[in-house]
Amino acid sequence: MANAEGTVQRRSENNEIKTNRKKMKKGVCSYQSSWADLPQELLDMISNDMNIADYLRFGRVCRSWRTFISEHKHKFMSSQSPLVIYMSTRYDENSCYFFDIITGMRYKTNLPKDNWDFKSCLGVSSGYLIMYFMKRVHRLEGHFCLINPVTGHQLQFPSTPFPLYIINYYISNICRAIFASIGSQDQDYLIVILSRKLDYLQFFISRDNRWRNHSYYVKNNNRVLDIAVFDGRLFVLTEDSQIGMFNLRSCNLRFLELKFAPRFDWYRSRLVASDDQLLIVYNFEVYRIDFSKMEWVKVNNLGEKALFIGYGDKCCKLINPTVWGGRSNCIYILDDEKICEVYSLNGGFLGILPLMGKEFCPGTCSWYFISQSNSIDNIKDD
Amino acid sequence: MSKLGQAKRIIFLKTADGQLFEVDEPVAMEFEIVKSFFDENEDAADDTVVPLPNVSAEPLAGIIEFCKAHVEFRANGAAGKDEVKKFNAEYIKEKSNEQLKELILAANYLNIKEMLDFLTETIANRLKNKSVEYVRAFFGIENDFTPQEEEAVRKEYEWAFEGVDED
Repeated sequence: MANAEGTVQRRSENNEIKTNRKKMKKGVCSYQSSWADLPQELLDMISNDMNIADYLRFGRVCRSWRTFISEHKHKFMSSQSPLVIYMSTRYDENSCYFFDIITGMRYKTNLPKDNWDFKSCLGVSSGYLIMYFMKRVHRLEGHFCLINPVTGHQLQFPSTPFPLYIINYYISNICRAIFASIGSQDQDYLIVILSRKLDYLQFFISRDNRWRNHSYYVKNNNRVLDIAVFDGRLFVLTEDSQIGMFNLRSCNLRFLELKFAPRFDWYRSRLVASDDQLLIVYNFEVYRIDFSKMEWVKVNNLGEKALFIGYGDKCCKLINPTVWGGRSNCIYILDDEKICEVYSLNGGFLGILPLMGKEFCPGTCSWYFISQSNSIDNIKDD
Repeated sequence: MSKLGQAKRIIFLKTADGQLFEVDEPVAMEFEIVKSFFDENEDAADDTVVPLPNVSAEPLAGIIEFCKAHVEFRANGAAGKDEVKKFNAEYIKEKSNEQLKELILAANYLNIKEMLDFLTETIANRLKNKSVEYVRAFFGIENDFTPQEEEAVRKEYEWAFEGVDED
């Protein structure tokens, strides 16, 4: 390397060493280096100013950029503000859209081309859209298609033996659809459908290749309100505030002996498994199950976190909004009025975030947390 | 050291291609690497030449121009105002991608935060909504994936997000 030898007027040995050390640390040589060889710290700074679509495309340009993206993707995705996923009102359009509530950026991703006349999104679970495809003439003929809109991974499941009465996007008898992996091999998948109208909790495990069901009514004729995967188990919440663990192998429901269970109006309470906690959300009240003391605990402060509740309670999560400048210790609720409302934990109205202002099918609108698009909830196999 | 007080101190910088630059002290102190050089060598003589073995003359001249303007903006209380944005826009307009690359590598080596923020944002903007092929051609990057890798990348991103322009 051309150096400043001989031209240095007064420079001690000491200076020389220090300068060299800096040079080595940075390891940058401006000669002959190509854009592909930009140092990581620069790629990091550049990518921080990008949106998700540009970021993903950035990783396709060349090997070194691809390596960079694969190493830093998780950090980047975790810093992104939540997206609202929605489908177009045009039923012939094979796309779904994402709207960033903070930047206002809209993204689109293609859904598989199909010959089905009608499709409905029953929920978002483990980063997958749980879609149900049907023929217009034969309402009973249909199948489930699980699609990860980020990776494009797809899985097919046959329709339930008991028909799903999905008249249109607005009217659906499904109150919860869950997708998870089962067992330690991560090769068997499971969907669980809780249907209000059919009085069944239905589930399908890929290796069994058949639907099984459990009555929607449990102990003393109480109904199951909601289901959630937590700590490798499938939990249920009933209308008499009982929490149970459902064993998929034996099709058996075991209730937990929990102290201080409050009484709820059955319709609105939801089970939320997020951030290593099992929460029960009832309007603006949040409860947590303390498994060490086996009791219900009222949560009065979410700390840095905020609770995100989707339209129709689809895809509820507890996340840290401070990474993208959001508000902590509050509840973000997606409304069907094209807005996101923000409330405090005591129900105080804090504000509104406008959504896309586009026509969309309300039943298909949900939160989508892109940082979790690659982590599938797992249920233990015992 | 500038014991005379009134006299403006000049810092001597020497580039990899052997050119000597005389830079006003406040401008040179924008370069973190120069600042720490003098912090670590408090007894350095006024006419000490700071060697910059990773920077050549052309990008250094560009960087000095940028930093000089920004030091003045700050002194005039114009920081963050339209005047600055106008200067930045004009500054970058005339730069080719090759020059931009040299600038960013040099600014990174010299460790000039404000300029780096501006340059990285500029690059992000130049990549915005552009196809992979466009980006490769624009920045002169060779597609170095093997056919197998290419296929894997294509598959992986077949579904990838597209930005939607406001309509």
